[in-house]
Amino acid sequence: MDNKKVLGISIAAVIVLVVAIIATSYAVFTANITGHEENALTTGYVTMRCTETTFNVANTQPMTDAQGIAATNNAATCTLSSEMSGTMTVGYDVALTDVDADTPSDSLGEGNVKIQASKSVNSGAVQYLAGTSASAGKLISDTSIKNAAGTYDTSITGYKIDSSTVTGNSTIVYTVKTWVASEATGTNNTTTQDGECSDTTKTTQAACEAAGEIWGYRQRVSQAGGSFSFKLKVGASQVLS
Amino acid sequence: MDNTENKETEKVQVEVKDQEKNNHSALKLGLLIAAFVVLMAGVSFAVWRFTYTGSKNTISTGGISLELLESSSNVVTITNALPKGDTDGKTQTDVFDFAVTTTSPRAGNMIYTIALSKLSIDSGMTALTDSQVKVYLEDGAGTQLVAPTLISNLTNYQLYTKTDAHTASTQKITSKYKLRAWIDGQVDASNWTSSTRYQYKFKVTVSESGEI
Repeated sequence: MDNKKVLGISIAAVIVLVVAIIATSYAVFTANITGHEENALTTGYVTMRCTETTFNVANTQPMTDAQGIAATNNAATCTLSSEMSGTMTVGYDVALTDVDADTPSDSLGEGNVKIQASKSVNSGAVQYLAGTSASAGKLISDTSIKNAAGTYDTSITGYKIDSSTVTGNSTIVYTVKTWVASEATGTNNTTTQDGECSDTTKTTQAACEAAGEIWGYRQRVSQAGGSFSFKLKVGASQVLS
Repeated sequence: MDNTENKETEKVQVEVKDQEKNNHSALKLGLLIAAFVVLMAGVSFAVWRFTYTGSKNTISTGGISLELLESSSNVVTITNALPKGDTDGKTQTDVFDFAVTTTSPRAGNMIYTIALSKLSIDSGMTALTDSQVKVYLEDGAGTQLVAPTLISNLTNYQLYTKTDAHTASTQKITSKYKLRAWIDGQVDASNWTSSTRYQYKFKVTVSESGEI
């Protein structure tokens, strides 16, 4: 081939190459497509609430388990309801809190008070909790209650009565019956007095005995009462999987 | 011609690099958004909490007391005692009067038990046994509460158990008692002499034995 042909072919090849490169580059720059389908995330909701009833029993006295369980004025309840629009597993703890917080130094303490704890899930059978049963309570001071820490709420460091999970709409009724199981542990106060009448309106022996009353030496042993209180606490959080 | 080709080549190379940069930036942005979404989702769910602390539940006990008032004038002090039958024993004038009072603001029963507490006898005396002494208890009105009974037949020296039913209007309940004691008529006194004296001494105790 002569030089002119070679030159012509070379120029043509370069032109083709340049065009190819330019075309390719432009093709990369224009490959920008916005999709047609919309993808969206819309939040659901999870709510829990505790609707409770409380008790205030004054001037009670030590009872047996049977008496405490049969009593009708000593139940604290928390109707725990969950409502979810989506799917989520919620773990929760139910505990006693502020235990004897108001009167920690009086004669009635957690060692004198028993509870019977139970729950019913969606109106199902009653399940007894915290080591109690249908016929037996347990002292709040028992280490199985006192030292029971929360599983899902780490702020609960004791007095937990139940840990459980819920995954949808549900209603769980918790009931804590409470009674004094033993006399307050305060020290008895003993007083003695000589020269008293069984009718305290009579102040002399003659008047006392003339009225058919007893005059003599009186010994009196007394014990002050006490008060004990607690609150119910529910702590819940999502269980991640 | 060569200059033109070089310029075009350089231009193409620059544009390719820019495109690569854009692609990398887009990839980084995508990854960043994805990470942010995951982070937000994770943080949101981890933070979800529900805490409820209810109102106070209170239970309280009232103060209680148990009193024993013993007569200083009517005390059983019998000297020169000899065996006697139940009829005489029940009507003897030597009687120990005492009263027990329970106080409770609680609506419920206080239960107490009256018992005998046996004492040591005086020096120089010989002890009578539990099976030689009878006791008899009446209330303040003279109604029999415990029939004549040998002390040996009492369980743990327990004489009588009383239940006081307290209500809001009866927070203080007082019960009076009369206790008599004598040597049982079945005791053989044929060997007793003026130099061999027998004796039995006791006190009354009252203890709360429970509440209902």
